[in-house]
Amino acid sequence: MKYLPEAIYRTIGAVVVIACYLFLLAPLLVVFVISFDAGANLEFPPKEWSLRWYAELAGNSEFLEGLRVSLVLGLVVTAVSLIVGVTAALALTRYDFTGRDGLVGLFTSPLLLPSVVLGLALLLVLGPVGLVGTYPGLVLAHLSLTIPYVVRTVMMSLNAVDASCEQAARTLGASPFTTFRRITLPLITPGLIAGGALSFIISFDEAVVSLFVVGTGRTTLPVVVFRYVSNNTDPQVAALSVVLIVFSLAAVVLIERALGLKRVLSRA
Amino acid sequence: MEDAYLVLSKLTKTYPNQPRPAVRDVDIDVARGEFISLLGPSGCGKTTTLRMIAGLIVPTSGGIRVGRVDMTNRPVHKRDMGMVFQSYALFPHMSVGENVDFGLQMRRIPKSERRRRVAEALDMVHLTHLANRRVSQLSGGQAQRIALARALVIEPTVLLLDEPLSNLDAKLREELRVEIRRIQQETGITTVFVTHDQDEALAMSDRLVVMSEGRVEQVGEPWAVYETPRNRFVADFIGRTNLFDGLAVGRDDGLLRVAVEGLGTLSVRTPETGRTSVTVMVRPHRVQLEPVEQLANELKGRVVQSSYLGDVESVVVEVDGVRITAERTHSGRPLALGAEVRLGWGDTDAYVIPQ
Repeated sequence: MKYLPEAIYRTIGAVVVIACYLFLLAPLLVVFVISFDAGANLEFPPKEWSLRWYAELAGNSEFLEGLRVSLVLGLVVTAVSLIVGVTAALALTRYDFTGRDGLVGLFTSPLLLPSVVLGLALLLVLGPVGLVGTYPGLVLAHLSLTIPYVVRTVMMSLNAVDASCEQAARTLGASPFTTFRRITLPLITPGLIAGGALSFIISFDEAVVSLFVVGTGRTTLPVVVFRYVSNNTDPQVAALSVVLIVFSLAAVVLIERALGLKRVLSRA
Repeated sequence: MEDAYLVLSKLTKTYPNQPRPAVRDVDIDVARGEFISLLGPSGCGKTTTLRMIAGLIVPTSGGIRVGRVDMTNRPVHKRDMGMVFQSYALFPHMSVGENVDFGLQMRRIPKSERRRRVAEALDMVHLTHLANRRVSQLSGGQAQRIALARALVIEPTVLLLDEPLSNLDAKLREELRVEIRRIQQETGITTVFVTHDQDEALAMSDRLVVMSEGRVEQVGEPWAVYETPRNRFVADFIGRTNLFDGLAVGRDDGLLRVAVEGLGTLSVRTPETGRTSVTVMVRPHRVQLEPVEQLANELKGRVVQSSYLGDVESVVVEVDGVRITAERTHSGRPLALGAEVRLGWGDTDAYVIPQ
């Protein structure tokens, strides 16, 4: 039997890769196109073009308020997750205590709790204490989702840092806190950026758990979108989606720049 | 020792869930300026002992003193000890110069003095030209020299070396061994060196501490530990050796007669031991093959193994079921397997192990 030339394999590979990307990106492309539709219904392909829905979006106070809540929430959740996550990860990687292995297992196992269950549970807990639809309530709810991710990424970074570097700093006269600030922190910064970005995205994107705990009070953007789509069929949501896509692309590029630059610097 | 500088007394470390202590009742006195090696197989407690001196491990009991200062409960960063790690442990996000400078920064020393002392420390290890390099650009030997400079620049009371040469290749290891000893003697710093490599320990140290299973087996100058091991473990661990168990059957004129199965009666010049069951040690290089002169102990056997190492030839001869290792230098063509050889050693070439 003859072997097929390598070029054929390569062509097949390329076709499969392109097909996969098309499959993943096609819906986004549709959204992108529809956002420029001048009509009032979700239609593909559009008959006329305009920026009308972008203009309406800018004047939609519900969306703007939702966006504001989601941004504030995302930032607070990220900050708290990083503080809690770094502290927990330090304890789990640098100290030996009873029950440590169990906790490490818990934090490193796949996070497979259905959001619906978690949302309901949080509603039952936050409801009686009057935290439904408030910032503290939303922050607590989102933290239960983000902290495991941050602990995980920071633990991975900490495990990659040679613990004898920290010990060397201690012998050279650095207190535990100074050692953390001057040695550990700079070395785990890539992990912190990754964990922080992940936690912001999780919080910003979270719809199901939020839906349970927003009640009639403060509402996040995904919940606003969800409610809007339930009642309306105009392309305003598509315009919003495009804005969000551009927003997250910019974030990814920024992070990649920051992390990539770091790597370049450490090698230079 | 009356002028002891670093004193470990009854130092013990027990880990939870482990039946045997990692370090048990270790007493070591180190004189000021002395280079002492902790030597033993892995798991013997030498590294744990060193880390307790540094403060990185908290002892279960016992004490550590430097000069008149009790260090036992002092935090690591207030001990003023320099430490060099097997993994180099240089800070990857700092330049070479910044690494060396770190300890001085922690001591809030003015910038101009810091600059001078960093330059001096780099000069001491002959790596001044690398001050602005990134740590990742260093070779292993360079990295460990920088780590040494970083540990010494703070003018520590004690220098602690945790297997600093184990990650280097053989030639570099020998080179750095000489350099560490030179710097240690120039600065006169009291040094504790942990190694599992007996050549390193013998070559570098003023005194050796041989450890096994958390305990000190013997403390002494390298030649004394090598020539007069206190027990079977030390004899076996330091250098290669032949050990013969036998019965003391007689004594005349300072010579002990020991009956060993297969070898007949051996003569050893030794002080009175007062014991009947004894172990006789003969180092391989003391065993002569085809001796030209009359020796106190002479045997005949057959070559069963021969390793030609260039400078020496290591030969195993079987005498009536007993294997004896001999080394000969200037050997030329190695001995053939199965060849009949005469071998022997003088009565002062053997040594009776006290315990």
